[in-house]
Amino acid sequence: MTDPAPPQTDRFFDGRTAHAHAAVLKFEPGKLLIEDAGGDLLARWPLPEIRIVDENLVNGALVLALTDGTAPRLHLFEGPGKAALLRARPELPRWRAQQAWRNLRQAAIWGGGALALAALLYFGWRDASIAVAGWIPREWEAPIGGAIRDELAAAHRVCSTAEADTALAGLVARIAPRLGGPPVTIEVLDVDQVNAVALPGNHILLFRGLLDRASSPDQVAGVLAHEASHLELRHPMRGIVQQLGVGAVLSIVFGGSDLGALGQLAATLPYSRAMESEADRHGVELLKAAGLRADGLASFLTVMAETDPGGLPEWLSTHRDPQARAAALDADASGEAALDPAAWRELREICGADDPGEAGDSGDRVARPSSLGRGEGSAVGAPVE
Amino acid sequence: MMATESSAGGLPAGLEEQRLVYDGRLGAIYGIFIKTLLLAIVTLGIYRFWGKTNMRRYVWSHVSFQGDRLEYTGTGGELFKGFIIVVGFVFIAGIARTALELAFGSLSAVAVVAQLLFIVAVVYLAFVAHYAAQRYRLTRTLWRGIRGGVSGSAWSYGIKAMLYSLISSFTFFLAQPWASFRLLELRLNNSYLGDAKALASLQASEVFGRYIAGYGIMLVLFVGFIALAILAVGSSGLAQDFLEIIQATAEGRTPDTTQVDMTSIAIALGLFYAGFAVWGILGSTIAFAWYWAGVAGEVAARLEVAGLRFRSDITAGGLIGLYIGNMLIVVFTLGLGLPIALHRSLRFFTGRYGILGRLDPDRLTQTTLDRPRTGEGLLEAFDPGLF
Repeated sequence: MTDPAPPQTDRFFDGRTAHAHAAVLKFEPGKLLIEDAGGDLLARWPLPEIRIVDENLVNGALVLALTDGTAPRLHLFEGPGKAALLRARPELPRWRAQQAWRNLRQAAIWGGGALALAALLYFGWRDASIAVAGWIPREWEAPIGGAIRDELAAAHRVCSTAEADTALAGLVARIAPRLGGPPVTIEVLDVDQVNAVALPGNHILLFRGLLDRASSPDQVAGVLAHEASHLELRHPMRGIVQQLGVGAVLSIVFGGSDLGALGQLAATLPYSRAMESEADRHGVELLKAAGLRADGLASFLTVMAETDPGGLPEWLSTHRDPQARAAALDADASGEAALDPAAWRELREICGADDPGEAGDSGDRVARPSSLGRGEGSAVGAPVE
Repeated sequence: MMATESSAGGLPAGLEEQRLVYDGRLGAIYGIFIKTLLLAIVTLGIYRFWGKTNMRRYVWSHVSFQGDRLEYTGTGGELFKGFIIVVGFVFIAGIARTALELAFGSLSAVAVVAQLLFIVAVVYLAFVAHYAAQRYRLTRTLWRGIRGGVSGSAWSYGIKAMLYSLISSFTFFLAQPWASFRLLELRLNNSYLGDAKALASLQASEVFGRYIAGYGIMLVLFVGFIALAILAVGSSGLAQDFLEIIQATAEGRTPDTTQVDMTSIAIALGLFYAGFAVWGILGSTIAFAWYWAGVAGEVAARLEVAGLRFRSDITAGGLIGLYIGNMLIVVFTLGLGLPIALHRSLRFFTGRYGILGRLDPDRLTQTTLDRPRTGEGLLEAFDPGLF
């Protein structure tokens, strides 16, 4: 039960039992020999690998070990052994500073890494979101967009006549023949706003106000091509992914988000200017590929800006210079007309020839503020409530 | 090394009594605390793991047993790696769950089941973390060159802990002493100091009376609190206002604000929640202090390791003073008093367990149990404490 080595003398614990050996230190080149009182060798430690674990401020013992993390411990008190070791390793007494420096360096490396990662996520998220949106199957968009479409259709009359529906569906099929995912739906809502919406899940909604203001089927085709481009380029899903990335990656991780909130985001977030320009350009390409006149969107934007310059606050918020946007577009008028005059008449009268519709009801339930302009600036409200 | 007699209170006579000695200084703890706080801010919280390790190294090295100090051999990097692994798992689980919701809809059976599984998994992992953290700490504790260890599987402990908790909740937590003793036994009987195994068989019946007393006090306090709240509402003339709110809610309209004193209602609700918190925290601390003192006594009386036996001097009054004092210190210093609370707790517990007998160092040999490579990351996710 009693240890041969009383406290306050140099002691060695071999890491096999808790027995305290009285320790006598000897040196040979590059090595520290630890012997017991009888001269038996207890351990042979390479001098460069010795480290100070701790210093006992109460009894003054220096606790030493090897840097390889093994269990043996040498307790040294003031005396010839400790003095000799410190002569061989004069930098040992600075162990506290070295340890603090090591800790700080490690934490700084990790903290810097965390900062770099945060910066990468913050600045690189835009590009990453394009890739991520590309990986998500188009079918997964269906429940999000479908819910918003149903809400809007429930709140407003969906205009429909056989001839106009056929004309619209034919136009969309011609403009965007290779749009992947769920089948495209195109519907006209009886709302007196100049607006059009592309919802995730390949839903396109035109508002009657837009048909009223358009002076040719090519302008409508331009708008449709713009919206179809949003869908083809996965802009709704990119918007969702980007939004989650910028503000709310944490909420997705810790379960704060649900589908309703996602849909809300998807519907209320304006597209970025880059996305709008991209959709403008791609829309023109689609029209050209379909052999249609490609100047419809540009002329519609110009007319809108000229006739109603004060009425487009939302539009102006995302596009400071609508004229420039129209000017940037390729206005190639060499293709065919989008619809024949009979079909164009049918489309214009899809909500009824003389029915003013819900002219007074333009303010309440409106989806994403479209870059294509709109009648009422107050209609920023979210479609999902 | 085996116990000669193992019934509570029937300790072999003539055993020498010693105690753990804690000689840490509050100033030194504050130094580590402030440094950790500042560097954690600068490094976006990452330094926390190294700061926590420094704190443990200090505390361990200021607790001694039979004249020799403990040593903490864990590193901040190990804690950090464990934390990163957990963050990765949580991240992947979150993404998978969101993907399922997007694919099937948030109210679909698949998404709801995934949501439930996620909650169950979090509870399960909290138990697993508890066990794994004990293993980490014991394997990182060295005394005279001998380290501790924990055998057994944290994953299977997690399953057992879930089952015992489920049974306990079915009995309205009346079976809690039994359930927590079974789990405590699992943790104790798998613990080692070197090759010496801890051994404890705990009797819930020894503390059941104390538990029921605490349970009863909590019930009485709750009923009293509710009665007081109703009386207060009645005598303050707010009853009409509340009725209007309840009626409006039932009819699905917004309350008539001309009839309702919203400021007083807000104050009343604030007082109610504050009272509820006081009941839950202060009330349960006081009501169950006698029970916890009993638990400490029972564990001390039944535990033996390496031929050592134990005795607890912990009393209900002592526990109440410790915990209520710590709460007041931490609350009124806005958290800056945490080191004081830590220091008080260490002095309290090291001073109140008597260790009977002497450990024979020649017969205590090194453990062969595994030493996990990463630290309690899981627990870190649930309990990001100072220590």
